Amino acid sequence: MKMLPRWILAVAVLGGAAAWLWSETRVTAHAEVTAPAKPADRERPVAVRGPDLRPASIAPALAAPTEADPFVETGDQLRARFAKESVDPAWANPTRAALEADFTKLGSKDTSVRSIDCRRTMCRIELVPTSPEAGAAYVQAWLRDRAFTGPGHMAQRDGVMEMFVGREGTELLAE
Amino acid sequence: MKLAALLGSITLAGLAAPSNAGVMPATAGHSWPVPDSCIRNPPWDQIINGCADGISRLWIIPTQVDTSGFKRVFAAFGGPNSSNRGTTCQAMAISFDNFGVSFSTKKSNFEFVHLMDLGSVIVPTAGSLHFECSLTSDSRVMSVQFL
Repeated sequence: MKMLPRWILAVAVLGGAAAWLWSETRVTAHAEVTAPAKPADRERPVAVRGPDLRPASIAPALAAPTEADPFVETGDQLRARFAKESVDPAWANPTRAALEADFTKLGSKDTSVRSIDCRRTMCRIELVPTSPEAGAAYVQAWLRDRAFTGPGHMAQRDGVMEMFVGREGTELLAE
Repeated sequence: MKLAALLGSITLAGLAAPSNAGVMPATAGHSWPVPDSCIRNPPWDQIINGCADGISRLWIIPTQVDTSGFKRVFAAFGGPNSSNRGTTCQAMAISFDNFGVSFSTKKSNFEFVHLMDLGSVIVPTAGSLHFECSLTSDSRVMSVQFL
């Protein structure tokens, strides 16, 4: 058999490598979708990265978020971190006063501020709403009008809204 | 040897894939609470508060997040380069039941449009992420990003 010229071999190898790389680096907008490989697979749902939001699978999630929810875990971590934190009066006292003024100016009858406790890098705020909807509306109004510019995390527990806010210029959350 | 070098170059080029940031143009958003015809859209993605009444407008930009968890958030926005008129932007991740929120730093920019690092938020499982920008007269927002 006649030997193929070396350049043809090189072009073939390069072409194959480029085609493989192209297929590996293609991305869809925000989800990797796997198309069925065989005719028999056509009726199967495509595999989509992210939470499965079909009705049957979302029902348990609506009942109660799982322990693995990063949002819930973050709340637990912030609570533990806050409990161990010492107080820096130079930051804590004026920040507490500023937050109090920030919340007071909203003047809601449906949500009251139970406590504001500031330490060294974060504050813990407890709000008591008459209903979850009233509490969410209150926090939304505060966020849009707030003078305090730090980051925060808020969740409702047993009728009380627990919020942690971070000192301006610091990171409240860790990856 | 040359072939190996060529293959290596192609592999490196393949690894330099586009970033995984989710980007939404400001034009994907809407004013709140009512539509405002004086909010203008000059060329491309920019949204400007062109209202003559001098009142700030709230512009809300939704995003599409594919996974929950930690997200670094950015926004490209600015003011009209005036010391007393600017834009503020912040990101908010909302839980699916509407009762939990993780919010970013609220940043201001009075100068020309810059890509501002707003810090981070935690998107709850099945939760959503959106950005809110308050635009004073002639201030603007271009786009928002998360990664």
